[in-house]
Amino acid sequence: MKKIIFAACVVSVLLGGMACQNRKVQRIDPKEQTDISGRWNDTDSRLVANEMIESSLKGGWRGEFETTFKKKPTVIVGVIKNRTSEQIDPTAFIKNLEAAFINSSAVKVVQSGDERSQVRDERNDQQQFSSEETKKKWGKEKGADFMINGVMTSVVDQYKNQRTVQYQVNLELTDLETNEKVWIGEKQIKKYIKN
Amino acid sequence: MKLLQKIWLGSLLLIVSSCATYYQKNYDLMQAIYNGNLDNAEQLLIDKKWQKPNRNILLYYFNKGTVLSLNGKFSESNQYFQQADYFIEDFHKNYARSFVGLLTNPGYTTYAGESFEQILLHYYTTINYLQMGNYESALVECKRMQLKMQKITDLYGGKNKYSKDALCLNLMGMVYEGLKDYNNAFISYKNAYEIYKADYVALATKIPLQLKKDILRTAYLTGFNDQVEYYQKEFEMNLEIPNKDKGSLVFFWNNGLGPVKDQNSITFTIMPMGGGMVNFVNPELGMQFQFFVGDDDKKSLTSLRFVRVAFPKYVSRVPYYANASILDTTGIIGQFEKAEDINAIAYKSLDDRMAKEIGEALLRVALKQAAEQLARKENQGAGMILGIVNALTEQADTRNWQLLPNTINYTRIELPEGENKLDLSLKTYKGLENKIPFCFNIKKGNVLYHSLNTLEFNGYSDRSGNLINFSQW
Repeated sequence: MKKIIFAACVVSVLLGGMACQNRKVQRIDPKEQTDISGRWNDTDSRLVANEMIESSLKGGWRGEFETTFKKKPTVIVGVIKNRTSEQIDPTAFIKNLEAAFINSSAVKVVQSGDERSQVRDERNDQQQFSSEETKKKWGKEKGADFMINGVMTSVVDQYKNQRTVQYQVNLELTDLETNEKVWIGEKQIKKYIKN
Repeated sequence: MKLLQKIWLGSLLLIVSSCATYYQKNYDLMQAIYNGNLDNAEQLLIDKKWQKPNRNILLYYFNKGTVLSLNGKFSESNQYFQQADYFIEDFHKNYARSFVGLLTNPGYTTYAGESFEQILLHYYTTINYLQMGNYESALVECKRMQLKMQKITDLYGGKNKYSKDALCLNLMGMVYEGLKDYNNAFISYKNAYEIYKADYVALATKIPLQLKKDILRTAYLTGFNDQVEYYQKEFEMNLEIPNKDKGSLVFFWNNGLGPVKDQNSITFTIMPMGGGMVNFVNPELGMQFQFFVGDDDKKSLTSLRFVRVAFPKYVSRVPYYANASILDTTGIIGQFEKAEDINAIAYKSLDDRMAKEIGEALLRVALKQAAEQLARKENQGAGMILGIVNALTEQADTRNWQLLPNTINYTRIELPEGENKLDLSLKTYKGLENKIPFCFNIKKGNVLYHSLNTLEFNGYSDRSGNLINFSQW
């Protein structure tokens, strides 16, 4: 018993000291795949956006549009609903989608949401403050031909300190004139997390 | 001996400073809250000292999130609650700290939150989002609340008395209604009803009449006519068809403040048994726990006769207000009903883990007392110091989230579109009335969510509701 108590006291002092932790910070490549908490992160957002846009551009809708109208289609990214069990800001995912579309050079992308309002405010200001030669005209905005909308969902299975999360992102591309769904994409990511 | 005296004095000063309960240590913050001075409370929490020590960081997130929410800063409040949420989700038991806590004082361990605290942080985030009109994020919070409840119940092997949270599903129903997803709203309300019916009598909460109305309404709006009929019979009430030209107000009233933790000391008699076993017995409380201490030199422990062990216990803060209603010029148009009794849940949650708490406390005391006996044998002075240190460090963990309300109440009323001037009527147990005027701008077909906290309380009581003398000092 004496030995046990002595050992316990020594261990408690040693462990008490070990409880202090030093923080380390290092710069890493933003494209590097990182998984720390197991929650939805920048890597997931980028991977899903790139893969889904690549898949959408392979769809027949683009060829049909180019054949008919002899120009590249213009796309607007609409609303991406978050129906997962995590607070995911869809803005990052929307930006990833827009970047993937623009970088493909296969389609044109127009502003949506708050940014579009800001552009209009700026154009409005130009009417009053800019010179005649440089101010931009109203009614010249490029109207989108297609709109992409989507929803993110997740299914969680957990027991004690283990859990799996399956994220599913569904995107739909709709012809703005005919209301026809021209492409539907689905991408899943499954994670196993052990605490 | 001079050296021993210095060590003794040093230890005494160090330890006495940590003898106060967590409630006593938070005196400044609690006084600011009690005086309704929320700006002052917010200012206090800016001071870095509230974030220290790191083992109490979760309580800092809880306190900061609550004060900001009380002060109407819903978005900022949710940032702190999200940090609390992630802290809980990523929490790894620090075995080093736990071991030190086991040997000295459990308040030394990292605070991971009581089960109901882990759940109720999502109540705050949900009503914060609802008041900002962000139903999508509110729904995420309800889902997280549900997942966390499942996880807690799994950890207890389903044996915990507080194993399902009815408020969580009730809120989820409200959020789905905000999103006009009546099918999912109906399912959530229905599941909430089952939990209220099965589990909440023991948690001092009746099935809210409003919930029954909600089930009937959402069944009707989904087109589940058979379910409308079924539940009309079950509830012995008729469906109230919603008026399409009106909107609704859901008003949450967080009444009073939840319980605070104090400590309770119990004396056990140590009965030596054969085969290296000792029995800790308290005949008055009908408690007995057996420990194996080994055969070698077991006399050091078995030579003890009595030990004092400290356990946490709750002390209730009795709400000042007994009930509340919403009035317009014609009279009462909405009566608040209790949706969750946090006071009752706190006691049940502590019951759920009391056996574990007692086991750990007895082991801690046994080791400390045996160490003292051994030290006395070697050196009387050192033994005496260790005895005093042991007595002073024998403390229960008295940390808890002390800004939670005592009860969560709500009412739902249908109102005409446009500005509605209403009064909230709060009545005390003595029948005194306090009226607060409100003006709500209602939109046709929409639901507006609002919350109000009344922080006043009327003294302290024990579990049975008997008033007790309890001082913050």
